[in-house]
Amino acid sequence: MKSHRTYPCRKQVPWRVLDTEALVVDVKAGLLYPLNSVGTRIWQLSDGQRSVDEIVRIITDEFDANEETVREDTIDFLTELAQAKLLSLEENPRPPSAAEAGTRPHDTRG
Amino acid sequence: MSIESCAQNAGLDGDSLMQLIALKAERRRVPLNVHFELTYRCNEQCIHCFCVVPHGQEEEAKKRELTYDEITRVLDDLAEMGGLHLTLSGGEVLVRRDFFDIAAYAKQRGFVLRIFTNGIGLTRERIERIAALEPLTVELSIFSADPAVHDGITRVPGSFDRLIRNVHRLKAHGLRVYLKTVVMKPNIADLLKLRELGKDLDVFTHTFSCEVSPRINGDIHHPSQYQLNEEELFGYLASSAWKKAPQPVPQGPPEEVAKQKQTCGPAINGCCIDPYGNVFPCIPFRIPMGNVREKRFKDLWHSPPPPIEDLLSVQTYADLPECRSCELVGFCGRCHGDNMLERGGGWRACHQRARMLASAEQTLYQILLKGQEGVEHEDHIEATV
Repeated sequence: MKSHRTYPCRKQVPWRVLDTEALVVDVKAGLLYPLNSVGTRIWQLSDGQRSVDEIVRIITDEFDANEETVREDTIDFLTELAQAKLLSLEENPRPPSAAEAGTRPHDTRG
Repeated sequence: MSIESCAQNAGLDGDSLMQLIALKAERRRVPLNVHFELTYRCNEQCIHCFCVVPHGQEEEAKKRELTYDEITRVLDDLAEMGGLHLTLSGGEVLVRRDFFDIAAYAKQRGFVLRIFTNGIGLTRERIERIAALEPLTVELSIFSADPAVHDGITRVPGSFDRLIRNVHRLKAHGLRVYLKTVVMKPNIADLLKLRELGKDLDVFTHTFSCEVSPRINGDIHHPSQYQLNEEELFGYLASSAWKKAPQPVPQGPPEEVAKQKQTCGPAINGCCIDPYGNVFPCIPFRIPMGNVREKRFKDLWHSPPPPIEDLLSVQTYADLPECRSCELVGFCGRCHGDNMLERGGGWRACHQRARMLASAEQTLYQILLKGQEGVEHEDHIEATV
């Protein structure tokens, strides 16, 4: 994965953020994926407009973590999400669309 | 951050995960599961139905129903508040001409959809549209493998044949079909054939329930005439043909069991919204929290009236005076809502129908413990009470 030129993009699947976790649902497979707080943030940032490098920078900053560790974990996590067909790894950034804005679930954190 | 270790079935088999999610939702009172009754009008007139609009009164009922705009405004609130699982139910949802518009909006807002339908109004075109909605399940009621018995319960000649044809069509579109059967006096005789039919149809799951709910209009006696009595219920539960495994039952003095055993918790992480905008804690508990025509859902949800506050205060069986010392408490699965409908109020008192079911369960449990009946668990077929 060329992290500066790879743009993770969530598929249009049902998801919600509850507290600090996200619930992502693969309806076709009947699977529900609970994501922890870091995974949730990565999922939220995977809008097709940010590269993996940008996501790693944000996570490193927000969670005050070691960048190399974050990079390794993030790439592993994104790869797993892609294998589960919950997101795609694009070579070009995707422009924001009205449709996606309309489907974007809301964060219920107080 | 591995997702493999925490991937579970959603609402299908992953009980432990769903419990974890429910706990999170409970803590924050997130309306995670919402049952939205879009209409009480129906093209069937099932003899035991708890909510049906009698033929001839449909137009009047239709005028009172929430409009598309009113419904989507509620869905907006729910999505903002974290609502995830949305059941679209009736009556029969397909009698609403705007059903697909409503369902498409719900999908767009990121809900996981369950669609309840009696299946007789499905056409090829409608099934294609349902498939495009990608619902988690399409859930249909079936009452018998004998067309005459099924049609006698729905009071629509030919409903069995249409249902079966459409189950095949739904499956052909890759949809997850869920059959549900209410076990009652008119259909108890041929349940084994019905179970075999469910297997032959290769549906995702087929559940059997013994509870006939009172009507929400206060008519207790009409549906209850179809409810199994204790003897019939025991005969059903004890039949080795159902191969029901004994469930673990909490042990100890009733007072201790009652403290440990949680009651059902309506209005904590879900609710029911009726076609006229009333928001109820659950399907049978018919004390409204408010009406979405008078108040935004998000406002009424967070300021429940005193009777709902009272309901929310009940956490375990020890909070209910008649239950805390009851010898059947370990077997009881009381429903506050059904109890309220049966009594016309006073839901905290002993729920007599739940007591009858618990008594049958206790007797069966004792027999099983003594090894007088051989049973074994079978996946997908569950006899529930």
